[in-house]
Amino acid sequence: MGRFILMRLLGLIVVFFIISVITFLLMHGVPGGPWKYGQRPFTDEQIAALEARYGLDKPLWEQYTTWLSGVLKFDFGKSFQHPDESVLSLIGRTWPITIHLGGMALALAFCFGVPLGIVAALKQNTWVDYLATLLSIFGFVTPHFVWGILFILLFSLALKWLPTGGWDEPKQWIMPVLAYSLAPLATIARYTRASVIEAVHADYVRTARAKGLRERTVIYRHVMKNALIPMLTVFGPIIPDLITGSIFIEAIFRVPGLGKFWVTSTVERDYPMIIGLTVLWSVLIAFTYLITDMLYVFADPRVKYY
Amino acid sequence: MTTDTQTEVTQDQTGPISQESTAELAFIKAGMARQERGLYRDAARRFVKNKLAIVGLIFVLFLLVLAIFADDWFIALPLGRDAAPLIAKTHFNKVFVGPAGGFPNGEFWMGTDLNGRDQFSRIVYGARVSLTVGLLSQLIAFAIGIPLGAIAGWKGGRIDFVVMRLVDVMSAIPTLLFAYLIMARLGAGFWNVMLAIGITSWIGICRLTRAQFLALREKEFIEASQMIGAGTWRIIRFHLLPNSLAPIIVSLTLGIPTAIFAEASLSFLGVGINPPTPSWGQMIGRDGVANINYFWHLALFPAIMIAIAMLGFTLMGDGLRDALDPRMLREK
Repeated sequence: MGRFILMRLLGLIVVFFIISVITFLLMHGVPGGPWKYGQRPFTDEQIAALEARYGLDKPLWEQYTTWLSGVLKFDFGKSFQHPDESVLSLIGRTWPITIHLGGMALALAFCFGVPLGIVAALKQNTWVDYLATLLSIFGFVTPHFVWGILFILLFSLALKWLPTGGWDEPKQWIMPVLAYSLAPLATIARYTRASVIEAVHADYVRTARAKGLRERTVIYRHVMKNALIPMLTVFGPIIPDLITGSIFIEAIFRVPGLGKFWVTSTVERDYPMIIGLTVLWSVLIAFTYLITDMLYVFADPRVKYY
Repeated sequence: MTTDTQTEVTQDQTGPISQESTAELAFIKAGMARQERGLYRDAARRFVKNKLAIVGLIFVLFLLVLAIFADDWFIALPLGRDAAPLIAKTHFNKVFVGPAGGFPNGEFWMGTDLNGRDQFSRIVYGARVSLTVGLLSQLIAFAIGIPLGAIAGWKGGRIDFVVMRLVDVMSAIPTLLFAYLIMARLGAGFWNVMLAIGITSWIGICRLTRAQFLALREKEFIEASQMIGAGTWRIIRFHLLPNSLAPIIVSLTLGIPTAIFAEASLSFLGVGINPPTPSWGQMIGRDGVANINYFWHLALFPAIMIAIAMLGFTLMGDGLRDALDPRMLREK
């Protein structure tokens, strides 16, 4: 197992290298620059001076090696949007809020999505199933910014239960978490239902029933255990998706999180921030897949690691 | 003598059997003729039986009516007939018809926006914008994805490799961010939104077409038509495309809500449809969110419309998929 993890981690380093090179080429390949299309009116000389100051006048390979040697010392450079702040401190300041929001949404999605899917599957083709399916269709289809708007209008304006936005007290957490969790909740419920239905009709479940096990034992020990294994691959990618934030949710509920930087850094050609976020994203994705694969080995003894 | 009787017996046996089998064949043929309504008529019957799909269809038809007859029927209603053409031409730009930020009432069913423009008219016109962007951007995606997928699946080898690597690179970039980047370069606008969404959403249909062609290429009827001398173009035109049509139709229907969502998102962020032309996402993003504490109607109606559009097309697409592929229905 240790060898397996080590090999995968070594592989990850190669992947990060390739991803950073591609991102570097892509972001410099797009025309424009941090000071060219912005609202700030700079003269050509000023732009040249700024580019010289941030090393953008150097050849690309030199810029890349400079960046890479900085990364080895955990220095991702300074953000162009916030010149007095480094990329790491900017991410370090805003990301915890986004993780907090995403983590709670994730917990909500799991705690309600899995039971909903299981109940729908066990009561297949009854009104419970139809209700669950309808709920998951609504949750899955409606964009989260639409949910956000509808929640504000219902809970803040019509019922006056909750504040419309902000991120200071737990009361303000409820709506963004709810709006953010509905789509993953629906996804989880959908896949859980399909997976459990498949397991219920498997031969070993018929055998378990045939040898006279109690229904409870059949469901918990045979259906659940086997149904949850394939779902690991569905659950995994939801996690990095949720904890990296959404610009819509954060804009609607005025949450000071990381979400907006995904868009603003691209528009402002904030090169250090773009590549910092890309690396963050790919690290998250890669580790999620690594952990998913490891869990898979634990959950299913038939799977061998290499 | 034994041999004679044996032959007689066999003859006796073969006689009735062959007659029986031809009768059976005729029976099967009759049965097939009775059952054979064609894939699409069968699919239509299954579709009509699916309640959720019908709900989706009703939503879609409702939006289509809004979009097609926007300036003939609906915009004229709360404004009076005379004002309608002017409004349609100027995209509600110059016509101020009510108090700024008025709440819904008998005259302005959905209130007025912060410039005093009738919100109902803008919502109706937004249906036209959304549906046009949704449909045309998917057609752009198809125009890119189907030929690429077809070539990759049919030719295989090096061309397939190149196309699939292109697909890999495209799918590694977050779609919304990529579309945003294109919009940031091209500038906001109706046609640019379509282009940006089209360029970023052809991957799915490319993969699908490739997989279809790859699977069909090995089938006997393709081999047979090659053997009787049909050219590549003829085979693609008359055999591969018609046989791939069902999944492509499903993919188109399910691609439209994704495109509508993408347009709403881009417009929400301010790089989608340009302000004089109304779009639901833009209505939420520009004035809706900022004034949600007081002018609730600015965000509520566009939000509901986006939900209806997404729900309608998704339910219809799901229904179409189940109708066109009965095997999947049975597995569910």
